[in-house]
Amino acid sequence: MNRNQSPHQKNELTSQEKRSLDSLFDSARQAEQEYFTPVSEQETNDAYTQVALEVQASRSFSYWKYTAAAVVIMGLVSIVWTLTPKKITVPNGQTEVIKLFEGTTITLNSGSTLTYPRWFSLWERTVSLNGEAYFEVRHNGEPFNVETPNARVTVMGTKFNVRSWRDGTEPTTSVFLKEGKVSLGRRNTDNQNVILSPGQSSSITGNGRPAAPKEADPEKAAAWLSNGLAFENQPISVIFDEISRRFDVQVRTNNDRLLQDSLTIYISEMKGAEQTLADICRVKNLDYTTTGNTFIISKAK
Amino acid sequence: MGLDEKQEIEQWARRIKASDEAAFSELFHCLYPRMVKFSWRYTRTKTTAKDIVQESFIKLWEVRSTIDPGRSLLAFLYQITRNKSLNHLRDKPANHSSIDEIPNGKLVSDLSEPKITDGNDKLGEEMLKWVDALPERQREAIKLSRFEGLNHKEIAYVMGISSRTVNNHIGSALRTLRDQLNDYKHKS
Repeated sequence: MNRNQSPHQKNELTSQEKRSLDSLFDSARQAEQEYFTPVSEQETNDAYTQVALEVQASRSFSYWKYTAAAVVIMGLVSIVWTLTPKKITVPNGQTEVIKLFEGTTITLNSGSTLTYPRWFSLWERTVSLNGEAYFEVRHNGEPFNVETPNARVTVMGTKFNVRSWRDGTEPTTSVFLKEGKVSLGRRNTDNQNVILSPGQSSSITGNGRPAAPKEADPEKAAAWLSNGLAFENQPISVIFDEISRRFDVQVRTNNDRLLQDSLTIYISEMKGAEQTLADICRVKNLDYTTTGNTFIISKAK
Repeated sequence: MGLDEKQEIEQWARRIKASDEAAFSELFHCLYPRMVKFSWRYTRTKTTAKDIVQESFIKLWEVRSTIDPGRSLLAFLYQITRNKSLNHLRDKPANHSSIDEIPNGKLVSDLSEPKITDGNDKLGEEMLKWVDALPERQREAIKLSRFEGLNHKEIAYVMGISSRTVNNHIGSALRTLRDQLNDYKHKS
C-alpha cells in the first residue's frame, strides 16, 4: 500500500516495516535475556541493605551527627551555665534594681549580695540574700523564698523588705511586709513560722524563733528605698555600718565604747554621709573629723 | 510503563524530596532490577552494573533536595546511571567479565555465535547484533526507546540532547535496522 511514495519520503519506514521492527525488538529483548539473568528479589533486598546503610550513614554523619554534637555541646554548656548560680553584689554607695524574668522586682541595698539559680522559677523560686532588699514578688502560684543566713521568708506574691546584716555577733534577719502575705521561719525548719500581715514586721536573731509580728511604720521599715535612714534603739555601730555601706565611706572611731551606745533615728531622706553623721554627732554629743572618705568619730571634748 | 507506575514514581519523587526514606526504599525495590539491566547494557558485567546502580541510587538520595517533582524522576535516575556507566567504561576500558557474569554458561561473546533455536530467536539474535552495530548515539537512543521504554523527551533528558536530535537518531537507527532486515530476508 505504501509502494508509491514521493521520493523524499522514500526512505521513511512504512507502517508495516515499523510493525516488523517492533516485533523484531520483542524478539531481541527475549534473545537478550539469554545473556542477562534478571535481578532477583533477593539481590534487590541485599543491595538495598547496603544502600540503606549509606543513606543512614549520610544522614547520621552529615546532618544528625553534627546536630547531635552541637546539641550535646550546647546542652553541656547550658547545664554548666544554669548550674552556676547568678550572684549580684551591689557596691557600697549604690543600690540596684533587679527584675527577674518571671516578673519579680528586687531592689538591693548598698553592699548587699543576692544569689539565685539561673533556672530560677522553673520549678521553684528561691533567692539567697546577704544584706537588705525590698521585694515586689509577682504572684504566679509558686512560692517565692528568700533565704538569709539564718532565716527563710516564704511568700506568695507580695511586697516586703528583708534585712539581714550581720549586726553584732549573730545574724539577724528582719522582715517588713508591705503587701500580701509572707511566712517567716528559721532557715532549716518548717515549723514555728510566723505569718506576717501587711504593715507588720518580725525578725529572727541567730537560731532563735521568729519574734511575734508587730505593727511597723511603713515609712521607716523600708526607709532606705527612698534614701532614708530609720533605726529604733539600735547600737550606733549598726547605724555606722549602714552609713558606711550606703555612702561607701569608712566610719571609724577611736573609742569603741561609744559604739555600744544605742540610738533611735529617722531621717526620711539623707543628704549625704557627712550631713547624716553630723546630725548623729550632734544628738549624741560626738565630734567627727574627715579625711577623704574616712570619718573618725570621737567623744566631744 | 503504565500510567499508574508513572504516577507512583511522581509521588515517590515528592516524598523522597522531603527525605522520606520509606519512599526511597519503595522506589529502589521497584526500579533496581530494571536499572541494573540498563547499566548492564553499557557495562556488560552484572556485578559492575549492580555497583553502579547502587551508587546511582545513593547519588539520587544525596541530591534529593534538587528533585523536581514536575520532571521525570525515572529519567533523572536513568541519567545518573547512564553517566556513571559511561564513566566506568571510560575509566576502566579493559574490564573483564568475572566468572559470575556468565549466565546459563554463556559468554557475552556468544552473541556472535549462531544459535540453534527457532526462527524468532534467531532473528532476535540477529537484531541484537544489528543494534549493537549502530553508531554509538543512535544505538543508545534506540535502546532507551525500545528496550527501556522511555519517550523521546525522557531520552533527550537522559542523553543531554534535544528531542529533535533524539528523533533524528531513532529515525536513522530504524532505517538502518529496516535495511538490515531486508538484506537478511534476501539472503535467507
